[in-house]
Amino acid sequence: MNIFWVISLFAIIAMVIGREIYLLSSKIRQAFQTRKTLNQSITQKYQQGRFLYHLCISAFIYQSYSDRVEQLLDEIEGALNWRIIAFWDFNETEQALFYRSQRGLSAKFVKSIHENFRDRVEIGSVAAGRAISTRQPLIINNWHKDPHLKGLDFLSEFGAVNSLGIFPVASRLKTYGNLHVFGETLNQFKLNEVQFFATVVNSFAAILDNDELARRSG
Amino acid sequence: MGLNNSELLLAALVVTVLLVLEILRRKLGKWLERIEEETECLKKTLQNRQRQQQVIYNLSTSIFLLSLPEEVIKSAIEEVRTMYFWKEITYFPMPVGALMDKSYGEITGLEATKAEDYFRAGLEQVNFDTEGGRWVGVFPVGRKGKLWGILCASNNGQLNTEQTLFFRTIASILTVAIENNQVESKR
Repeated sequence: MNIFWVISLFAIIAMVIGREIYLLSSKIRQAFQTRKTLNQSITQKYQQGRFLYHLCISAFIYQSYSDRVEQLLDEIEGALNWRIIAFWDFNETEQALFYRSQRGLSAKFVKSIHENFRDRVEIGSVAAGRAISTRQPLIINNWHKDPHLKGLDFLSEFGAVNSLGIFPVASRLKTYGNLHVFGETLNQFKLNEVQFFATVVNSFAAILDNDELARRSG
Repeated sequence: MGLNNSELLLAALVVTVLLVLEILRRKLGKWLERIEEETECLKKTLQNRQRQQQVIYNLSTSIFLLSLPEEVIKSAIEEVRTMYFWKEITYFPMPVGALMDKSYGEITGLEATKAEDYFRAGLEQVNFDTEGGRWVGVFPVGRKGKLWGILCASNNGQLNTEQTLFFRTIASILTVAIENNQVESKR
């Protein structure tokens, strides 16, 4: 057999093995990517689990309503690294929401809330009022396209926010208000985020009830 | 077949390259296998955490719908069994101030008197079946005097940090919910 044919045969085998190596390396690259994503999700779930645990055990020490709200905002910002959040109180008598506190919103955004809404949103109106009237979370994954925020595009620009999750804090006893969680990018609220923040506000409402009942019973 | 020296050298070189490629292919194959195994483990961990989150979410929603402490306890235990696939979880009442007069759920080989001792001693985890290597996590519910609580048995050694955190969270939510229910029903 001529040496040329032998080498050609070896070359073909080398090409077959080489192709397999190429396929394997791309599979390894994909597997690394999957592993990275999984690790991120696991870390996120772990942080969320710890956050819920600390929130729940915080109930065992009585705090005033305003301290509780401020602490909640601080912890969402600090422990979960969710940078832009706000809290609105619900007033049963006036049937309206009143701006209370925020973290991470620009001064321009806050000023605009003062000027355009006088820190007040009627029940049933715009997104916040709709959420409180249904007592269900309201998710806006695209600020500019959602009908609940029609005409409020300027707020998105002022706050550099593109998505918004509104989670009513309501128990059987009382409706306390809304937790507003802002996302800097579009589609920031997926099932995990919605379920997590819904758990946070439900637990928070139970804790507020606990404080309220302790206060009433002296 | 008469090969000259340079042809022999070339053939040896080609064979070496082929061998190296084959070794590399096998190594990469094994590496991929290992990464895939690790990925499977991570997927299971994530599923586990998703199930934990689902249980806590369901529990936090149901506490406003259920008014009796018994209902809240039963609902929480059923939720852990169904969603988290943790079969051996039970509620044990203590004689003083018990909310239910009967235990709910069962842990094979664990008697009520033993459970009471664990609660009283303030133990968090106990190797209650040394031969079978079974452990039980003790999670008191109720802040004053720890009157009652839930126990979770594990056949695979001690409960890990993640599981402990999960059951403690459940115990805390139950404490708040039931305290609220009790105060409301008194009013």
